Amino acid sequence: MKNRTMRHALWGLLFISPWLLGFLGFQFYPLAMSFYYSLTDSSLVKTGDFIGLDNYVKLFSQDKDFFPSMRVTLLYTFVAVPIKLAFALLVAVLLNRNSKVMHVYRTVYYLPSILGASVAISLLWRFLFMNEGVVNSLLGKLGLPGVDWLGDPDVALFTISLLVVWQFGTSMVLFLAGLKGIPSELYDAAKVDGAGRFRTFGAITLPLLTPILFFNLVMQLIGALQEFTAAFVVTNGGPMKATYLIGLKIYDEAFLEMRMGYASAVSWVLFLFILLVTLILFRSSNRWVHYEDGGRK
Amino acid sequence: MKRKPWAALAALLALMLMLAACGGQSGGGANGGDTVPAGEGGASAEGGKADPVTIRFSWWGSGPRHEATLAAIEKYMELNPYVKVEAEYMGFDGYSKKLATQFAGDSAPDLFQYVNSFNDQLGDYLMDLKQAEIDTSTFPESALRDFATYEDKLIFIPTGQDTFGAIYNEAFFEKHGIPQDKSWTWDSLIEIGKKVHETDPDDYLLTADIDVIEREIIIPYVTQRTGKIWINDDFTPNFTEQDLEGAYSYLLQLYENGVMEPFGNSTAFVGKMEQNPKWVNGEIGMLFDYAGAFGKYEQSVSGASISIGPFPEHPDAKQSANPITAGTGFAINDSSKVKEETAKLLDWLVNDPEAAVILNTQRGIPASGKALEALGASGQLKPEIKAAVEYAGTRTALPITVLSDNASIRVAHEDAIQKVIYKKLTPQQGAAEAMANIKEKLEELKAEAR
Amino acid sequence: MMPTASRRLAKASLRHLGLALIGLVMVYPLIWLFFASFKTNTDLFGSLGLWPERFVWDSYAKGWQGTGQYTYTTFFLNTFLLVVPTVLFTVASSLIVGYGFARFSFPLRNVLFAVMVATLMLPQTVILIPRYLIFRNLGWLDSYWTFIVPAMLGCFPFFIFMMVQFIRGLPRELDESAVMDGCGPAGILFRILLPLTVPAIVSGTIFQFIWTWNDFFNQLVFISSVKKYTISLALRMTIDSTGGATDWNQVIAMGILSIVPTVLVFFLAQRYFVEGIATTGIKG
Repeated sequence: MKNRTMRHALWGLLFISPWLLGFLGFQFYPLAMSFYYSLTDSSLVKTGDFIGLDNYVKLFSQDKDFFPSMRVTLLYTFVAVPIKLAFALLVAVLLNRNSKVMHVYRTVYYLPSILGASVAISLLWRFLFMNEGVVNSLLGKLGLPGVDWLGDPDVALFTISLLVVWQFGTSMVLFLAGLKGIPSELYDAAKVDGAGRFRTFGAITLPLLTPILFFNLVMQLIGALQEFTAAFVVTNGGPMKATYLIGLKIYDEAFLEMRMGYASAVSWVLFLFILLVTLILFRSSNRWVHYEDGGRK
Repeated sequence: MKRKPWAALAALLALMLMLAACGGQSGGGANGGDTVPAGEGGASAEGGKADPVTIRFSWWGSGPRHEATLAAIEKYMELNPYVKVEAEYMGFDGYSKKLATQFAGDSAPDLFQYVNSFNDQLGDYLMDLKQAEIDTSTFPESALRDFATYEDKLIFIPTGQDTFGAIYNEAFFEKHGIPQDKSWTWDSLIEIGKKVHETDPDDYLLTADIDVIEREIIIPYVTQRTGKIWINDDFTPNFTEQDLEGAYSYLLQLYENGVMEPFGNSTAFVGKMEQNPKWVNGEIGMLFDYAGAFGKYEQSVSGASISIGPFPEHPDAKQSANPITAGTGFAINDSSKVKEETAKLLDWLVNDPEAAVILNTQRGIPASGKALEALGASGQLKPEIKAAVEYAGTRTALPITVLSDNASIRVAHEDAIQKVIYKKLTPQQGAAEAMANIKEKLEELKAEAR
Repeated sequence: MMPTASRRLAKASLRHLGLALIGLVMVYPLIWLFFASFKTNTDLFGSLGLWPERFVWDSYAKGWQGTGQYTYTTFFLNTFLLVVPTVLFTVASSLIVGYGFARFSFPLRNVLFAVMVATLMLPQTVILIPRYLIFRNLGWLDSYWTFIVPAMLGCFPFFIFMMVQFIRGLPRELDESAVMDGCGPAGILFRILLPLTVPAIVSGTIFQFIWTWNDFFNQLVFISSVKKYTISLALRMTIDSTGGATDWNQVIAMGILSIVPTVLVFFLAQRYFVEGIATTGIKG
C-alpha cells in the first residue's frame, strides 16, 4: 500500500518535472534577483548598494503617486473585470451552437483580441474617441452632446476599460471550451423536468462552468492589477494621472527614472497584494467552485 | 504494459532536455553578435588591417533614415572590404529600453545612435572620444561642449543640429491675413490668436500637447525673462514661484481667448501633433516643434504649403531660450573590442563628404561643418530647416542643459501644469506645487548623482 | 398567438440581428483599418470616413519590401519559426504538467502549485534584466531558443493552470476504469484524458499562437539581428515618434497581413469546440 502511494507520488513528480526544471532554470533566479534589487538602489543598468528596506519605507511614506495609482488600478479592476467576464459569458452562451454562421460570429467577436496591443490599436482608439472622433460624431447625430473621452480625467479611465472589455475574446473562448464539457444529457434531463432556460442555466450550466469561471476570474484579476498596455498606448497615464495605473508607474520607475531597485520594490508590494487577493479567491473557491474530480485531496 | 508509459515519458523528458541543451549550442554558435561582441575583431585591434572586423551598429528611425544609413554602411564596407558592419535598426519605441538592457548584460553594440537624455543611465559606459582618431575640428566647439560632454569626457559626436521653430500653415496665415514674416511675441500670439478664433470658431492659431506646453511655452516664457538657464547644474531651480505663476497665467489666457485648441483635444496626440485632424485639415495655424521634425508635419497636410518661422520672444527678452541643439549623435561602447575601427567608421559617417550626401538630413542639419558644406553643395538641404537653424544662430541663447531637460523633472512639472489647466489649482497654487515637486525631484537626482 | 414555427423563426432572426449588430461594433474598427491601408496620411488623420478619398494601391507592395535589406517574406518565415515550436511545446508541456498537478498527490503539491501561479503575479518589467542575463550566459541571445526552451519547460503557467482546471472538471471515475483496463498513468493521460481535453488544447493553441505572434517587448529585447526580426518587430521598425515621417498606410497594410494567419488559426481551430469529442455517457 505504501509502495503504491510512493509510486503515485513519483509519477506526479515526474509529470511536473518539466515545470520544476523550467522554474529552477528560468524563473527562480529572476524572481529572487528582483527581490534583491528591491533592497538596493540599483539603476536600470547597474546593480546598486544594499539599502535595506529604504525603498519600501519611501514607497509608503513619501511617494505621492503610489496610493493614487493603487486607487486608479483598483477602480479599473473593479470596472473592467466584471464587465468583461459577464459579457464574455453571455456571448459564449449565445454562440455555443453548432452552425457555420456561429463559426463566423465567433471569429468576428474574437477579432479585437487578435489585434492585441498592435501598432494599430492606439491609432484606432484615438480615431474613435478623440473629440472629433467617430463616437462623438455618432452621438452628435443622435442629438447628444459629445464627451471628452480621453481628455476628461473623470472619463479617461472608463475609455481605457472599454478597450480592454472590447478584447474579451480570451475569456469567451475559455467559456466556450468549458461549455463543450457539459454533457448534453443533463440538458435533456432538465428539459424533461420542464425547467426553463434561465433555470437550466442557473442549475446546470453555471455550476459546471465554475472551474473555468474561477480560472478566468483569477487570471483576469492578476492581469488587470498589472495592466499596462492599454493605458500606455492610449493615454500614457494622463490626463492628470487619471489613468496612471500601478503597472505604468512601475514601468516609468524602471525605464524613465531608471530606478530598477525602486521599481522592484513597487512590484513586490503589488505582488503581495495580488497574492493576497488570489489566496482569498482560492479559499473561497471551496464554496462555489464545483469540481468533477470530487475535490482535491 | 506497465513499463511502457514510464519509458515513453522518460524518453520524452530526455528529448526535451537534449533539445534544450543543443539549443544552447546552436544558439550560441549562430550568435556571434550578442554573446561575444565582435569577437573576431579583437585580432585586428592588435595589428593587420587585412583581418576581418565586425562592428555592430544600432540606431532608431523611420524608413528613409534606415535606407540612407544602410546605403552609407554599404559604401563604407565597399571602401573597407575587411570591415563587416552589422546593422541593428528599429523604430524609436523600446530603443532605449533595449540599449539599457544590453548594457546591463554587457552585450551592447559597438556603435549606436545616442541622445544625451540617456546620460544619467549610460554616460559612464561610453568611450571618451577625445582619445579616438576622430576629426572634431569640423564641429562648432559649443556643440561638443554643451551637449556631448559628460564628466569631462566627449561621449558622442553630434550628428545633427536642431532648434525650435514655429511651424505654420501658409494657407491658414493667408486666410486670416497674418504676414508670413511675422516675428512673434508672446503677446502678439494672444492678440492675433483671439481674432482668428473670433473670425472662425473652428480655427485655432495654436495647438500644443502637455510636453510642448512645458518645454516650448512655459520654460521659454520664463527663461527669456530671467535670462538664465532653467535648472542650475548644482541641482537648484533657477526661477521663482512668481516666474512660474506669470507663465501659468499666460497659459490660461491662451485657452481663455481661444488662441490654443482646448487641452482635452490635444491629449489624444501627445508627441503626434501631425496626426491631429484639425492640423491636417488646416484648422490650426501653427505649432512649436523642432525644425528637424518639419518633414512629418509637411507630409501630413497635403496640398498646403508648410513653412517654419521664428520662435516667439518677449520684446525685452534677455535671451531667446531657443539655442541650436546638438543632443543626438553617435556614441561608442566603452567595452567594445573594436573601438579603433569603430571610431574610424564614426569619423567617416559624420565627416566624409560622400557620407554626408548619402545620409542627407536624416539626422538633422549636419553638425560637422565639412559635412554641411558637402551637403549644401549637393543642393539637397531642406531650405526651411536650414533657415530655422540659421535664424536661431543669430539670436543669443543659453544652452538647454541635460538637467534642464531631465524627463523626471518634466513629469513633475507637467503634473502641476495640468492641475492649473483643469482649474484644480490657481496659477499661484500651481506654481507653489510645481516648485515643491521640482525641488523634490532635484533632491532625489542630487542624491543619486553622489 | 403566433404559430410556434413562425415564433421560433422570429426569435431566431431577432437573435441573429442582435449578434450581427454587436458583431458590427466589434469589427467596424477593423474594417476601418482595412480601408485605412489604402489612404494617404492626410486622409487617414484628417477624416472620419471609411472610404478613401483616393486609393493608394501600392501600400501593400511597398510595405512588403520593408526598408530594403529584408522583405516581409523573411519576417513572416521568421515568425513561423519562432511561433510554431513555441506553441506546440507550450501546449504539450502544459498538458503533462497540468495532469501531474490535477491528478496526483505528492509532497508539497499545493505549495508548488501556488508557486507556479504566483510566478504570474510579478510584473514582467522587473524580471526582464535577470532573464536577459540567463539567456546571455546560455548563449541564446538573438535566437528563438529564448522562447522555445521555456515553452518546453512549462514556463507559461497560465496554460498549466488552465489545463489543471479543465482536467479537474473531468470525473476521476474515468481514470479508475482505465486502470481496471490496465492503463498506466501515462496511458490514462494520452488515451483517456487527451481526447477529452481537446477544447482546452485548442484554446491553449489559439492563445499561445496569438500572444507569441503579437508579443513585442520580449522579442525586441532578445532578438537583435534584423535578419531574425519577426513581424511584430518589423511592424514597428519604421515608426519613429521622434520626428521621422511614417507612411502609415504601409504600416497598417502590413499590420493587416500580419493578422491573417492568426485569424485563420482561430477560424480553423474554434470549430473543435463544437465538433470535439462527445463526452456523452461519461458524466451524469
